[in-house]
Amino acid sequence: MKRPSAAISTLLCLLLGFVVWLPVNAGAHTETGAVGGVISGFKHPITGLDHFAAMFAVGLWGAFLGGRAMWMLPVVFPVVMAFGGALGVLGVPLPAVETGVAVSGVILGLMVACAIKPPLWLAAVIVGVFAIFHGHAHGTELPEAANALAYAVGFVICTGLLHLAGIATGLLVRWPWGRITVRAGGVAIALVGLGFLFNFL
Amino acid sequence: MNPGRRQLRLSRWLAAFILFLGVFPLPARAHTAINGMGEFVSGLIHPLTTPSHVLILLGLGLMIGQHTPMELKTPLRVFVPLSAVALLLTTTGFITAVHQSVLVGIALVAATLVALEKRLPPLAAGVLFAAAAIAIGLDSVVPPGVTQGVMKTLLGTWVSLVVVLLDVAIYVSFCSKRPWLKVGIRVLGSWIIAISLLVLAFSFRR
Repeated sequence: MKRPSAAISTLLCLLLGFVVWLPVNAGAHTETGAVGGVISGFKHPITGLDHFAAMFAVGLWGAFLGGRAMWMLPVVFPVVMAFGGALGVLGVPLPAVETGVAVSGVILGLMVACAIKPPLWLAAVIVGVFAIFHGHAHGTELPEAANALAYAVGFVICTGLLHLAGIATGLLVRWPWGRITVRAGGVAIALVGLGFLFNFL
Repeated sequence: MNPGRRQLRLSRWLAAFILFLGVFPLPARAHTAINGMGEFVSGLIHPLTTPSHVLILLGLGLMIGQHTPMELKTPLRVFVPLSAVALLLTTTGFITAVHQSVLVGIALVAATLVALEKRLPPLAAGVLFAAAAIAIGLDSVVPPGVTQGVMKTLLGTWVSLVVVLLDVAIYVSFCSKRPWLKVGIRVLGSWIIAISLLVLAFSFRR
C-alpha cells in the first residue's frame, strides 16, 4: 500500500483537532440567525454518543478497509443520511429508528473489531442502511424554527468531520500497535452501541 | 510551449489576479458591516453571505475545476452575461426573490455531477450555467434607492459572482494531479448533496 504523505496526516490531525475544539469555542456565543443555525446543526450529531460513535465508526471502517472504501463510505453515508433526514423532516414513519441507530454502532464496531472486510458494495449497503436510521432520527428532531440551510450546513459538515476523524484514526492500521488500537476502538464503539441497545447508556 | 503547461501558467496568473481582487477590498473592513459600507462592497459580499448562492457557486466551481483540461468557455460565455442580465432585471421589480428550493435544486444537480465525477455535454452544461446565473441574479434583489447606489451594488454582486466561481474552479483545477485531493472534491460534492436534500425536505415541509 502506498504511504500517504505527511501532508495528509497533518491535515487529518488538524481536522480531528478542529472537531474537538470547535464546539467548545462556539459555546461562548449565543445561537441566533444563520450563524446560530450552523452552530446548532453542528452540535446536533455530537450531542448523542450513539450517533457520534456510529459516524466515527464509518470513517474508521473505511480507513480499515482501505482503497476506495476510505472515501466511498464517507460519501455514501451523508448522502443517504440526508435522504433519511428528509423522510424524518417530512414525517414519513420508519419503524425502530432508535434500535437501528444502536444496532449500527454494534455492527460497525464489530466490523472493525473483527477486521471484517466484505466487498465494497456490501460495505456501502450496510453503511447506507444505517445512515437512513441516523438521518431519520436527526430529521424528526430538527427544530421547527431553525434556519434550514444554515442548520443543514452545520449538520453535514460536522458529520463529515466525524468521518474524517474516524479515517484519521483508522490510518493508524499501518503500524502493528495502531492496528490493535483501531480494533480496540471498534470494540469500544460496539460496546457503546450495546449500551444504547439495552438502555445502559 | 506545451499547451497544457501554457494553460497551467495562464490559470496561475488568473488565480493570482483573482486573489488580488479578493484581497483588494480589505481596507473596507474598517467600516461597520453593511451599515455605512460602500454599495459596491456590500454587493461584493452579498453572494458570500447568502448560503444558497455559496452552495451553487461552490458546486459549479468544483464541477468546472474537477475535469482536465479545464473548460472555461461555457461559464464565461453563459454565466457571465446572463448573471449580469438577471441582476439588471431585478431593478424592474417584477421578481423580488427566487424560491430557495430552485436555488438548492441547482446546487444539488451540480454537486451530484461533482460526486459522480461526470462531465456534462456542452449544451447541458450551458443550460445548467444559464439556470444558475438567472436564479442567483434574480435572487439578488437590491432594496429600492438612488439609482447610482443600486447599480453599484449590483455591479459588486456581479463581480463577486464571477470572481468566486472562477476562483473556486481555478484552485480546484490545481488539485487534479493529486488523487487524494480529487477524492476530497468528490466528498465535498457529497456534502453539498446532503445539505441540498435536507433543505429541500425543509422547504416541502413548510
